[in-house]
Amino acid sequence: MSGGELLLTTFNGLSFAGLLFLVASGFTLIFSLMGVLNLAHGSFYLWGGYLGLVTLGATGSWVLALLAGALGVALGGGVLERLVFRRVRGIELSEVLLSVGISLVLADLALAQFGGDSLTIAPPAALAGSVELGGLVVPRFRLAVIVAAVLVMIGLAVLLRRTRVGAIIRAGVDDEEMLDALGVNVRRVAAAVFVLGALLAGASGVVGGVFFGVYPGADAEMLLFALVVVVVGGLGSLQGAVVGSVVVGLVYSFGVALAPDLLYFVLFGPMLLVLVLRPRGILGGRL
Amino acid sequence: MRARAFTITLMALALAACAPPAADDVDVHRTTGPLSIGFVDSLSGPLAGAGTDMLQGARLWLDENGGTMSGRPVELLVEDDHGSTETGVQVTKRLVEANGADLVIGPLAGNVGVALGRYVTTTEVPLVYPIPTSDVFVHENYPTVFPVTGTAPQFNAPLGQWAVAKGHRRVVTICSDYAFGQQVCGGFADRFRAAGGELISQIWPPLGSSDFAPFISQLQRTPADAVFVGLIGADSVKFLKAWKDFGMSGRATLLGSDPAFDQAVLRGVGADAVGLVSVGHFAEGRDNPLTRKFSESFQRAYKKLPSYYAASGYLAVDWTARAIAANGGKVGEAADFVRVMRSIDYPDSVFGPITVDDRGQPVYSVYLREVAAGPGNLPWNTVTETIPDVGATGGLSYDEYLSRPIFSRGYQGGTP
Amino acid sequence: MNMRVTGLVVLVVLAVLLPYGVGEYWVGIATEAAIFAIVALGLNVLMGLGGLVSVGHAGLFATSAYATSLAQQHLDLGFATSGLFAIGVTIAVTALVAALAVRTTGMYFLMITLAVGMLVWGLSHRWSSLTGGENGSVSGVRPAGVTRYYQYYWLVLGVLVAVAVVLWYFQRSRAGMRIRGTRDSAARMTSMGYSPAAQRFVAFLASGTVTAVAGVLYAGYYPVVSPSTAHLSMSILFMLMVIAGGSSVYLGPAVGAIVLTVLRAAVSAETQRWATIMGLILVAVVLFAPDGISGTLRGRLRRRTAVPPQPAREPVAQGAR
Repeated sequence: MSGGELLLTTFNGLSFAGLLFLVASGFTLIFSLMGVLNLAHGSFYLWGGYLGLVTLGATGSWVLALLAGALGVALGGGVLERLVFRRVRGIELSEVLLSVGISLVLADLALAQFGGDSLTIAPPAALAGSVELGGLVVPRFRLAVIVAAVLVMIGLAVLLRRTRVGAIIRAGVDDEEMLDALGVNVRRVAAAVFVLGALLAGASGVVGGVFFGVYPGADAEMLLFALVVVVVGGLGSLQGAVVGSVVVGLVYSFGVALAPDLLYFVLFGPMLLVLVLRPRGILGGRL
Repeated sequence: MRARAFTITLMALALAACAPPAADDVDVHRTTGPLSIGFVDSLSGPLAGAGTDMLQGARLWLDENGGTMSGRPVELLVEDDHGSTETGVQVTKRLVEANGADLVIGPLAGNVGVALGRYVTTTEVPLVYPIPTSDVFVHENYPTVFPVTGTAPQFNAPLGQWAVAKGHRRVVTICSDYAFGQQVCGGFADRFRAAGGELISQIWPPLGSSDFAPFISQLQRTPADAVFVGLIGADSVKFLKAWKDFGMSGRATLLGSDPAFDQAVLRGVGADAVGLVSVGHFAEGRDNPLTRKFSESFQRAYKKLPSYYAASGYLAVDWTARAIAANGGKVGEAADFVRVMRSIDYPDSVFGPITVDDRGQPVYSVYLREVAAGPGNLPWNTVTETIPDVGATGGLSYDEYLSRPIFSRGYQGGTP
Repeated sequence: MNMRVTGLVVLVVLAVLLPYGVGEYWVGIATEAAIFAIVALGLNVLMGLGGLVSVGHAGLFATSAYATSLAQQHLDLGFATSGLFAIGVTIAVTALVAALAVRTTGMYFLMITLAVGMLVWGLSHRWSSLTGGENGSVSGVRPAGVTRYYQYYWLVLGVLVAVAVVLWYFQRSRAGMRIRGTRDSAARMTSMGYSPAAQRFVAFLASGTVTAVAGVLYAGYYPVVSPSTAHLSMSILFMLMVIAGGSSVYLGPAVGAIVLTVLRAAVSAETQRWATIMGLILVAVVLFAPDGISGTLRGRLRRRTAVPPQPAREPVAQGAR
């Protein structure tokens, strides 16, 4: 691997990590509060992509497309939380199973509605094309994704560490009964977190649509990546999602270049190792 | 109690062993009444886009012909195999064993095709295979399977010679790492090297890779002057996007395989596709009355231009209808029916002229294509050059071709 | 008790007579249903008895089916020997996975099995020189004298009955009791001097062995074994069979397998939206019938015959937290 190739592969890995973080942060946020794996997260991502695509086609505005993807999915997530997930809150297995059922339905409905072609979302005009960075030609959009991921990371960190809502969320992770006793409506906080997670999934679906296109199967792909990210980094911790995204993004990028045949081992091998050796993730996030 | 139950069970088993149930018989010799035609297709999963096209092509033929063949109403029994081998066998079993299909058209996915080929030889039902097959079907004898559009290597082989003739002597290939992609690549690589070209390396992304950027980075410093693209559907769209995003346009020529820049891909790429060069046995923008009529009616019916999958579905049904007419309005014995199919030639078709060789393999014209702006400014493939009479063996004799292994990732042509 | 045994015997006799009533296709579906019923019973050793949810059982199932097919092709083994070989291989793989997984429960156990399932799927998909990749591996070899579709159906049915009987005695054996004890209270088992991990290991091994048997039968049933056998959606289907059937009733999972397989065959002939239907069933079962079909039915029956209802069971899996 030459120097240039090394740099480019690293850049690819980091930009992929940016997208992974956008997807995985919502996933891990929901886990941190509810202790549940929302396996419908991939379908949220997919529907975000389709909503963005449709909006972009109708209005031509990328900002509206992003908003439609994010808010549309957030709304859908809120409705699902209210009507379905809330009924089994606290029974973890039931919550996981419900999310599996919902993901099957959502993916199938997307297929029925949008067909099987791979559709791509055009990047906003300002981010189209590529720029040269020290002899390296890189797409602007990928750079922007890294920046966006960092901004979202800072935003979430501020939300969790500096605000009352964040304090409640963190407290909820540690001691639900205590919060209840203090009169905080845990249900409402849980619903809010669920909606926030869905919002992030929807927004990342639009971004991912520019990256890879929107197509049936993208849901399962992204879900598995997100799962590996949060397991490797540590379930339910924001720093874990950051570390996990970077590790998985780089491992994937180099894995594809160096050992494409072992791709599944490259991805799921580390996940298995972490689960067995350090079930709390590399960072040993709090649980 | 238990002893008695045990005795009853034993007796039932003994009875069963003595008198096996009679097999259901389908009367394939009828010449009247409805024809049941099974249609196995990938309508979900990664190949769903192509699969939808194939079905629409078939439906278009039926709509144009009043839904009948030889005066018999056609009942098209559509089944989705999800691109999965298992489901493919499952649904075909249902068509044959439960629904009494007279014949089966399908499938789309190469992996399903190999399994169905094996399955139908154990039945009395012919399989009309619309999409280029694995060359397993050339190497092994399948008397009840008819490959309507030849094999996967067949239409990519001519590009090998052409590339060298155009001065592309050093080439990297990037092909989907599954049976069909390996065969597409093999057809090209074999003839390319035979013509004196140098294959610098071969890149094998898995089917359905999420991110093509890592593969682009491998291409960035390559000394090759052309890249052969053997990707299918969504993968090809992602590749073209990454190619453009990383400023690769102009660094090396992209040479498209038969499926890589097909209409099913162009729809996802849009105007950026204009100028792409590829090889193929179908060109929706071919200047020919039959193709033009087909492209227009398909666009009218489905609001999009036809891909070769659409044309294949259309031709497979047409060929079937002609064979049924030639067979006195019936399907009859599977092997006989396939013999009738082999006896049919097309002086012209939506693809172009087609004949069938002595081994029962169809011979097509192959086109060098360039993407141009078509009707409504949508990109479509136009013909720049025609190579007539391309058979399954890439110009080799059958003796020589059959002495070689089946194309795979391990065997990409040449003398093994 | 006698009533129940008589009822079951009548059911088995009816099942044996099935080929006289329906055509080849439905006998094929019944064969598949019986194979899946074996998997579901095996999976329930882990889920119902052990309280551990696996979403990687398709990986074990596929390991066995592939091993059968590959042994037939490369080692020239017949049906029985290749089957024994495959069961051996699968038990070894199961032991390895179990060794990794049994220290955990709940969500972590689920994720480990998921990762293992994905690894098997990835291997079957990518290690194409061995497995044939997407094309799959040739199978469909049946023992001499059992080659016709209805004969093979009887063979599978026979194995299903045998597995059901063996597992019935297993769950009432001491080993079975210890697994149940670990599910209900790992701490109590520890204080009694038993290692919870060891009990879970036994449960996993028993479950894997039964799944391996089903995998061998599957290889004889289908003409090819392909990566979709190992896919996550297959694992989810298995899990759904157990849950929909009801993991608290002994034969519940088998009922779930039969109902879902037949339903899938019937529904997918009519509509392409099987995935939606499967998803809705899953949601409906979780929300409205958490004990599954048989659990709910039994509950109704019990209430009607005025037998006091069983104490509510604890949720199948305890959380990780």
